[in-house]
Amino acid sequence: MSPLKLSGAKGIACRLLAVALAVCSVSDGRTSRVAYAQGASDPTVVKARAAINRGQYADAESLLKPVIIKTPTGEAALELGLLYQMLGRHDEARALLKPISDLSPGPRTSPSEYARLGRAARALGEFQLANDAYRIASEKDPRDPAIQTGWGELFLERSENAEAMKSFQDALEADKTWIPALLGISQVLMNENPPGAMKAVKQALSLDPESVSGYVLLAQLELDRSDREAAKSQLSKAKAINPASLDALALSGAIAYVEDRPDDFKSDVAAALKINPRFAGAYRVAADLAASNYRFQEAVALSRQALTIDPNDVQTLAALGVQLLRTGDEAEARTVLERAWSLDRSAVNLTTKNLLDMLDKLDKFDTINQSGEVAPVIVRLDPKEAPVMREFVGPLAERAIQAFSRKYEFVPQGPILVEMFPRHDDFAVRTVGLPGMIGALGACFGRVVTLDSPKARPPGDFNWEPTLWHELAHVYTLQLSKQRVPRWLTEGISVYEEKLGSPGWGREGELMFAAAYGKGEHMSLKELNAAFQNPEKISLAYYEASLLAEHIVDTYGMKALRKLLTTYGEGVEGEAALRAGLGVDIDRLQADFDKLLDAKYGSVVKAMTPPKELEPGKGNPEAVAAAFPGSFQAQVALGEFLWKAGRIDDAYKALERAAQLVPMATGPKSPHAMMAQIAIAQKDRARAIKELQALLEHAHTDLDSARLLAKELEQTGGNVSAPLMIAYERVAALDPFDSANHSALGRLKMQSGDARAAARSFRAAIAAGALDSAAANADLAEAYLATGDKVLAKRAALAAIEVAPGYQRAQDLLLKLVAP
Amino acid sequence: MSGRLLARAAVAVVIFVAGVAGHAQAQTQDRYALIVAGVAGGDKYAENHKKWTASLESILAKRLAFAPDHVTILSESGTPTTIATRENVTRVLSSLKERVKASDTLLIFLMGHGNADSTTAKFNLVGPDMDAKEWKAALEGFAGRLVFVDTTSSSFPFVQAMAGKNRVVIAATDSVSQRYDTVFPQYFIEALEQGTKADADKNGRLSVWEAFVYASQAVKAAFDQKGTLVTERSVIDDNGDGVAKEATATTGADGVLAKTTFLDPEPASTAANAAVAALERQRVGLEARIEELKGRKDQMPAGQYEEEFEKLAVELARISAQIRAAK
Repeated sequence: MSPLKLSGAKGIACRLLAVALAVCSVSDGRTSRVAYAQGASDPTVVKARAAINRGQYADAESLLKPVIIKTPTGEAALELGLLYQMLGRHDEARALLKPISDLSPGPRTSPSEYARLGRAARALGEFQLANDAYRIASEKDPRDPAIQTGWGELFLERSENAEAMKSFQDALEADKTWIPALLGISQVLMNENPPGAMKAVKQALSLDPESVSGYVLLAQLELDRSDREAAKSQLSKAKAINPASLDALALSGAIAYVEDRPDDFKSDVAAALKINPRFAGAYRVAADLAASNYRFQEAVALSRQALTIDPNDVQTLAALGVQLLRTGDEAEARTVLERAWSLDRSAVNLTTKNLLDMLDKLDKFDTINQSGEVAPVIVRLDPKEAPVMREFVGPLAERAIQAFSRKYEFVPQGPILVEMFPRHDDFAVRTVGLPGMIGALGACFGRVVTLDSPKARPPGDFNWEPTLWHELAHVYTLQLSKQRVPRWLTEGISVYEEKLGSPGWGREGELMFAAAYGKGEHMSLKELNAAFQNPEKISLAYYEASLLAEHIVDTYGMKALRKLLTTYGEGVEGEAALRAGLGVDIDRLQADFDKLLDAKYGSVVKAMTPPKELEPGKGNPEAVAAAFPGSFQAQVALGEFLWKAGRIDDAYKALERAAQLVPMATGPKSPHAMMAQIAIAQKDRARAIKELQALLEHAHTDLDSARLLAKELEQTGGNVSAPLMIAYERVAALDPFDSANHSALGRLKMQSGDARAAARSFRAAIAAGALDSAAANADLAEAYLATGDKVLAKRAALAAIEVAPGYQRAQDLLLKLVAP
Repeated sequence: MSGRLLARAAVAVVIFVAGVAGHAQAQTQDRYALIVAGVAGGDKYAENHKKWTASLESILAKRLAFAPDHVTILSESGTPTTIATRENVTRVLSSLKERVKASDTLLIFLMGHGNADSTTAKFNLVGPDMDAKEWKAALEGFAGRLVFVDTTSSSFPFVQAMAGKNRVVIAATDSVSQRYDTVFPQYFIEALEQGTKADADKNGRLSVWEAFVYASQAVKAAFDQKGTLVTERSVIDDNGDGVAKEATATTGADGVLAKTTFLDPEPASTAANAAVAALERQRVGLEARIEELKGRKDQMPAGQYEEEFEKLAVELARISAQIRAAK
């Protein structure tokens, strides 16, 4: 999965594997229970399933074949059909499954017969038929966990996780020990809630220690936690039960691949292909794992290899499409995805459909090619936003690339593709193939950056500038490490670079981290990487990783950080990489880091720990604050109390104390915000400005405060150009579609003599829909004239006159411009 | 062949513009205003209404130079004769019908709350409300030009009810389902206050159309800045058909009357001598030709349009400079 800004969503690799497991889940659970789950009452089928679970496929076939002669559409036929499908004997599978799915139900058709029909239809890719069958089966017997589980697996295959979850929960309500339902829940949760997924799969394995799918699923979850050793251990258990498990072999091979053990990889691939010569998963799973380790180019190569085995493997084609999008090859991605869609237009291929729809939208985007001093950059913007955003996205990308290239002494491979989406779900689909990823703002794949545009979220919700800066930092860490940097380091560096990029950027997580640190909820260095897969820990992980990156640079220097990145690029991992890159072992690094955290946040933690005596609304705030002068909460409570009591000077004093104790506090109830409100109410403009400026040092996404600051500064009447420009620039960053703000900023830039920057602001003002279009064009004409560009100046003056023919200012400019 | 036709079209436009200008000049001899701030329905709204009423009163008196006895304000907190009741509204309208001549302009500005159902729309007053039909009836036989601005929620049905010849009708909403409190009055008043900023064509005068466009765009910008869905879309009708359009609509015949309706006093004649008068005539002619050219823009090759436009614009700029120098 790509490095992301904010979110811990994990992406398509896990999901595809989950689907694969669902497809092959006939041998899950205790033999007898699974047989029952599938509606099996025939002891031969039960016995066959036991053989399948042990990988004795030929034995299972021998057991089932004679039964089928008597009942060609019975349980045995379904079982053998599914077995043939798993073994790649598709014609034979179809010959068995089709008659089952073609059955004409009658009034006496039992729920389990409907379920069998549904399972066969699902195997044949006939979703609608399968769904209808399961629906009727469920209506006839809503308490049958096997039916609910089968239906849930169908939804899971379609990525309809909410529906899948409901079915699995219904199954567990009927029987809380229903193993396939527990495994299903684990698969539903594995992207969004890995700890929950882990709990479910462990529960399944406690009920059935022979579940091969359970161990494979657990191995995948361990991989997501970056614990390969644990994953290998789980796979060993799976292989011990079933040495011929295709899923286990594929994942084992995938791990060997990413660990640079080519012989082991080849061996696992060969073993899998011996069982199923058309098993594209032998390479596809490795491609997925390579991709989830950021190694997208290698993922593309592996997927292509998979297609040599089965050119029509829709899963591989879909995955290859995603991987090609991540390497920036959108044209070929479209070709591959269209092929996948032509082979399977069912909802199972949802990701492909989403991606093709997204590519249709992307085709209409404006493309801005920048040659760039260091590396070429291609910026793609929604046509409605492009007139405004093109003024800012490319220049910021260029500034970031120049800064990082100097700092990291590295020229990245280009062109670097930056795509910005006004709809968050389009960004999510572009990034992982599915809508969602609510917490994510941007993603980077090494050469491709995707991010939300300012319109994707309410104004003030986020700042796109540090997001782009963050993602472009990933370009360097990924490429310098040959895409092998661990998550903690690439995210840590990106947030660290945000903090250096501009005052206020990247600091939004600091207070939360300080609070967590005070409670001992932060992570040890050994736990840090896995925390990126934990929704409850991921925000903390980002900030802690940034502190660690900062500590590394401060202690060992920039060159050491660079060396650490290149060390990962050489294939060295974990603690060995730290030793080779930084010359320090993890214990020493941990000890030094602990000291740093204590020095940095010890006093804040102390201040933020509320005294037991402080209960909101109770007691005398003055007495509590006097008793606890070092308590942030006590001082804030006192300040608010005194403000309401009209004791303004005393309120200021209390809030000033609070601000000193926790300088990074933000929000409407923070000391600086409250002092600004008091000052505005008191008509003390100078004080209001001072407090708002202090607040905005830490609250870089606080649009309302930035606007308020600009308004207060505008009304001072004094020489406030410099702070006013900063305020306008902050508003412009947070709401680039505020035309009036661009005009005001442009006029200040003109006053400061920066006509080029002024022209940019005026262009943005016009593109954003200036209320006074004639004046904005005249402003632009003057700015162009000041830069010496008479052609553009005349064009702008004429545009002003077109709106307002009698506009004297524009007329005078035009005459000046056409004068001989 | 085509040249002759184009020349003819240009002449027609010149005549049309001159005719409208003459009409505008004749009709703005006296200007009247009735501001009605209805039931506020809460302290927050009452405060806004009070602030807006005071602003509007000040703008009318100072910037737009309305005669003091030509402005009537009815509000929720008024005296028995100035409280916003149906009786007082009817009485004032009756009086205005007698006072306002055919060449005069009356601005009626409603702020407060409105509500509507499938049959009618009401403006909420102190005591019994007045619905759109009652407002229509109260203004039956009104002789002058009417600028009727209903800034309330659910004001849309008033467009159809009040539409008529020589009337500009503006509603803050384009649907009865837009029932939220509106911000349109704030920005319409802002447009009147900041005449220069809203004066899109920079002719030194603020037309009702320009005020409407400014307010409409400002409302949209305010919603965009909050990141919320736009819950009010203002509309205008000035051709009397009762079919309104938005400021940004590219279709719809409305706008002609509003563009030549001004609330500020007619500027004094600039033609102090014959030479200046001749230049003024040239200026008017050039402006008309520019408008005609703009009307053909979509049918012309871009290069040709730009060339012709620049020629006219430079000429207009030179004439305008000569006029200024001669004054």
